[in-house]
Formats: sequence, structure tokens, C-alpha cells
Amino acid sequence: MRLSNGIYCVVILALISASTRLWAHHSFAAEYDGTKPIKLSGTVTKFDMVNPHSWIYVDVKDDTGKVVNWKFETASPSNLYRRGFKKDTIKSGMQVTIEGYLAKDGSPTANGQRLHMPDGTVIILGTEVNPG
Amino acid sequence: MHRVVLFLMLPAVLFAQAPYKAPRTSDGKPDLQGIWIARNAASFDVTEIAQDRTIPYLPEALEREAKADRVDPIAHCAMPGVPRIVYMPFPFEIMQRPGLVVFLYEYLHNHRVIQTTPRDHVEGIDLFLGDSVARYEGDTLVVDVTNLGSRTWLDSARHMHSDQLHVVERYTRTGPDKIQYEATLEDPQTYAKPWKIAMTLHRITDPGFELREQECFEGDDGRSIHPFYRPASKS
Amino acid sequence: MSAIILFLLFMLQAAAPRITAPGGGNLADNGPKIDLEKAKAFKPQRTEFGHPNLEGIWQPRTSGAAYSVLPHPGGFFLGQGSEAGIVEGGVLPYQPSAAEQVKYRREHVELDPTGHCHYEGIPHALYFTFQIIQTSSKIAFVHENMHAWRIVYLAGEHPKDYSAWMGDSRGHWEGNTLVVDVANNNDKSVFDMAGHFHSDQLRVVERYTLQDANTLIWEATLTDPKVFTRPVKMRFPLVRAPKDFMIMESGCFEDEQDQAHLKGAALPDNHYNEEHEKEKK
Repeated sequence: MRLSNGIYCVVILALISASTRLWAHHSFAAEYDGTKPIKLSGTVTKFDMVNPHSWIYVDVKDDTGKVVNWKFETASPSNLYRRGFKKDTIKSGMQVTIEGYLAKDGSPTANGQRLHMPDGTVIILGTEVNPG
Repeated sequence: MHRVVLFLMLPAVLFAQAPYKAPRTSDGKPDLQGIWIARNAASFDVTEIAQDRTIPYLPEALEREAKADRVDPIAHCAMPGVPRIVYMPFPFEIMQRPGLVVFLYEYLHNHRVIQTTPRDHVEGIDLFLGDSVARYEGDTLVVDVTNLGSRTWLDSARHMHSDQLHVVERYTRTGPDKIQYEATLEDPQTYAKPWKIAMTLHRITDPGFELREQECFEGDDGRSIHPFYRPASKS
Repeated sequence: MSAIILFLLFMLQAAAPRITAPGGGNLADNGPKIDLEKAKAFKPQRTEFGHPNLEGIWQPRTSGAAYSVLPHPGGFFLGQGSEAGIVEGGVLPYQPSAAEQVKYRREHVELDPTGHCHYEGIPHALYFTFQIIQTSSKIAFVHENMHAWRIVYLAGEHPKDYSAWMGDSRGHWEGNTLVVDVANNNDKSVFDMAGHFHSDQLRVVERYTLQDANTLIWEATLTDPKVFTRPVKMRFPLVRAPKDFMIMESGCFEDEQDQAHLKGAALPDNHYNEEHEKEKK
């Protein structure tokens, strides 16, 4: 009984995730590379809740110890807000891990997908624009 | 003899002082609908329409302004904020429906769709045009605006504000083609006390006048581009 | 056991690429089924001035028309796939020289106007949530995207010497259907991200009909003698937004940074079908 309840739960989740699949804003498919996922950890230096897309800036130390400031693109302020995000949800100095996809042009830029907060919660940063 | 004259004058006096009674919408609210425009220089300097022609700044706020960026945010196509959007020299249209008042601004194609039933303000997000909740008080539409952030200027003279700015607007018909617009601005980080602006909004009565599209976008050189306000007729 | 099988079947069909014939049936396959007969029979509530009441916030179900109005697979940043697209027949009848331009535009995504923060035009602006507000003489469409709006005038003529991203809209009622004639379109707005463009001769005649209290059907006939060989029909359903949904402020005016990263960027040309009708001899 427990097993089939568990499967039922997963089916529901799968159904939900299928209907709210991430949606592209203009040219993301051209700008970011879906075959190059990355996961970086570092210290937040800035969070701009701006239009058309919000940006999270993170100081990331590479293997040599050099610090590079990465920027991660996220959903628009109104879409973040609808997910419970506020302008002070992410603060300078926070230690975070962000998963995303690398920009094609080689700059330290990525499209942010999932943000791991210091307390362990995971926030979806996905860049929907009023899905239709 | 005096008393008789005064008595005869009374109706005239009373009639002259009777406030204009605006026609009503289908749900009994004062009808503010139509296309309106401000005709003053407030978009250059808001003190033009300020009570006592002055803004009661806190000294530290004046210092902050003196050190601030010198480029008007609207030069980069940013939305002008409230109340500046009301006195930008462009027409706007008011539509009213039960439970809603809608402002369609020609400037930058901005809009405000405002509910006239109570709700809490949103929290934790800065909005260039703020978060507006409205109500009717007799013949006046009152709009309460918060969440204005700190990135807009009140005019091109660099009168700024903090994200604590709270604006209460009042729209009252004072004649067939006039709305008296007043707004109280308070911002405990910028002003020593609340202050008021007041101006007339004029109905545009040109037959067939309609709002046109107005956009602004930043060209590659960073210069903002506003297409012609009213395309010149070729004839 | 049956639950496990159901789950596996679901995941399989979600993962499988969809190859089907174009056009047909519903169009825009992720929404309520369009039933034009049902719409014809439906008696909508009326406003106090006697017009069918279409007011409210509407959420389109276009199956990713913003990526392409034609049938296309979903994928990385391409949103939802669509077996049917929103174009009747599943092809856009471009003239040969225009078809060349479509290809060029798809290889130069940096030219896409929404990336430069321009208004989306009609029908593009309708692929995202919008609000309808009606008075007896004007109907306002208010969009969150690009903080755009347009007014559909129920009287008056299209202006001369005027060209706009959102065009000029004049409407009238035919029974329970709002018919809107959109003219004065500039040649710069586009139908989608996949290079499908139009000229300044574009004319869109839209039809809005309620199928039931919470389902709105959008249909349109598009003509453009400069780029198409014949008129094009489009169609998709919209559903009423949840009660507490609010159109919020949005736009493209603060910190647009994507353009700088589009270096010779091209979108994959992976439509299912032959996109352009061969010219009939």
C-alpha cells in the first residue's frame, strides 16, 4: 500500500511539472547552451530584482583560487514575486549554490535554474514569462 | 433694507459655491472617464505645482541627492513613477468599471489597472509605478500608492525619493472638462513632513482625438529613442 | 502494480518526440478543446450596456506559439512542444523571397525585436496573459509583457499615416463574437522567435468568442499580400485566470543584458513539417 501511494505521489508531481515546464523568453535557446549544465557555489555580491530579468551576482572561486564574479539570469520580478520571492530574499554575503546553463559566448554568465539557499531550501529561478 | 438685499443674494451665493456634481457611472461612482492631460511645467520641476512652491527636505536627503547620478532615469526609457506619470506632457485615458479604474498613459505605453475595493498592498517588491489601491470618497477617487522603490525622479530637476515614498492621489471632477488632481507625498527618509501638489487635468476635447502608440527604446549607442509624438500628416 | 505501469507509460509519452501530421482538430494542443458549435450555442453574460461580457484576465494556451506558431517540438528553453501549432494547415504560405528571409532571421536571433524590448504586436502579444476591460465604446487590452496596452475602438476609422507595433484596432460585435480589424501594423513586429515575420501590409481580423464562462476562443485571419501567397488562419483557446491573479508591472527597460551575449546566435531549425507551402502551379 505504501509503495503504490509513493508512486501515486510521483505521478502527480510528474503531471504538475509537465504542465508548468520552463518557458523561453525571446532568445534564451540561442544564448545559453542546454548541453552545458553548471553548478557553482560562492558568495552573493548583488541581487538586482529588475526588468526584464533579475540577476544574481556571485563571487566564485575557481580551482586556482582566483575569484570570478558570475552573473545568473532569472525570471522577471513579477514572476519571482508570484513564487514568494521578495527583494530581500537574496542578500549580499549569502553563501549559495546555483545550478544553471552556461552562456554560449564564454563569459561568466549562466541562466539560473535552481538556487540552494544557506538554510537548504531550493528555489526555482526559472525564467518563465507568463507561460502560454 | 440690508437684510432684504442679503436675503435676495443668498441663493446666488449658495449656487455659486455649490461644488460641481459629476455625472455618475453605471454603478453610481463619479465619472472621470475620458482623455486628460496636464498643462504645466511640473515634469521639469515639480515645485511648480507644490504647495508653497517648496519641498520640505531633510538635510541628509539633500546631501544624498547632491551625490546622486545626474542622468534622468527616463533618458534610459525607465518608467517615470507616480506622480510624475500624471504630469508628463502626454495624454492619458481613464476608464472605469465596477471595481476597477484603469489609467492608460500614452507616455511609454504605461498602464495602471487599479481595484477600487480594499486589498493589502504587495510587499517586498519595488515597482516603478508602485502598487495602487483605490477607493471612492464621495465625489473623489482616492488612490493609495506604495512600493515605489527609489529609482525614479519626481521631475527632470532630480528631485528624488527613497523606497519609503507613499503617495495618496485625489481625483475630483470640478467641471465638465476639468479634474482637480491633488497628491500628498510622504517619505520619512527624504521629507521632514508630508507635502502636497495640486494641479488641473484638462479634458482633451478635439473631436476624434485618440491616444497613439509611444515607445522608447535604447539604441545601440545607449541613447534612448522616442518616435515622433504625433507623426506629421503627409497631406 | 497498475499505478507503476501508468506512471511508466506517462513518463514514456512525455519523453517521446512527437511527430504527427500538421494542422487538424484542436490546434494549440495544451488547452481546452475548441468546440465552435458549443461556442455558437453559448449565451454569455452581458455587460450593463448590453454587450457580451469578455472582461477578465485570460491565460492563453498556445503550446509555445512564442517560440513558433507552427508545429514544433519542445526542448531546452523552447518551452512546450506543439503537435498542431496555432496555424490552420500547419504551414505559413510564404512567397519564395520571404521564405529566404525567415531562414535568415532564424540564423540571426539578435535581430528579434522582443530582445530589443519592442512591443510584440498582434497576435504575438496575445500569447501571454492579458486583461480585457470593456466600455460601451472602447475595449482595452492590458498586457503584462512589455507593459503594453491597446484600445479596440468600437467606432471610427483606421488613421492614415500611422504605423505602430501594436497596430490600430477597430471592433464591432457580430452576435456574441467580438470582431477586431487590426491595421496600421509596422513591418518590424514578428509572429514568433522562429523568424516568422510580416510586412506593413499585414491585416489581422480577430474573432473573440466565449465557449463557456471560463474559456475564450481566439481566431484570426491574417492577410499580407507582400509576404504570403494566400490568407492564413490561426486559432487557440484561452482560460480565465484564477481569481486572485493580478497583472503586474513588467517591461524591458532597466537592465536588458541578453543582447550582448547573442553572438551570431541561431535558433535550431527543427520544425516538424515543411514550413512553407510550395507555390501551386
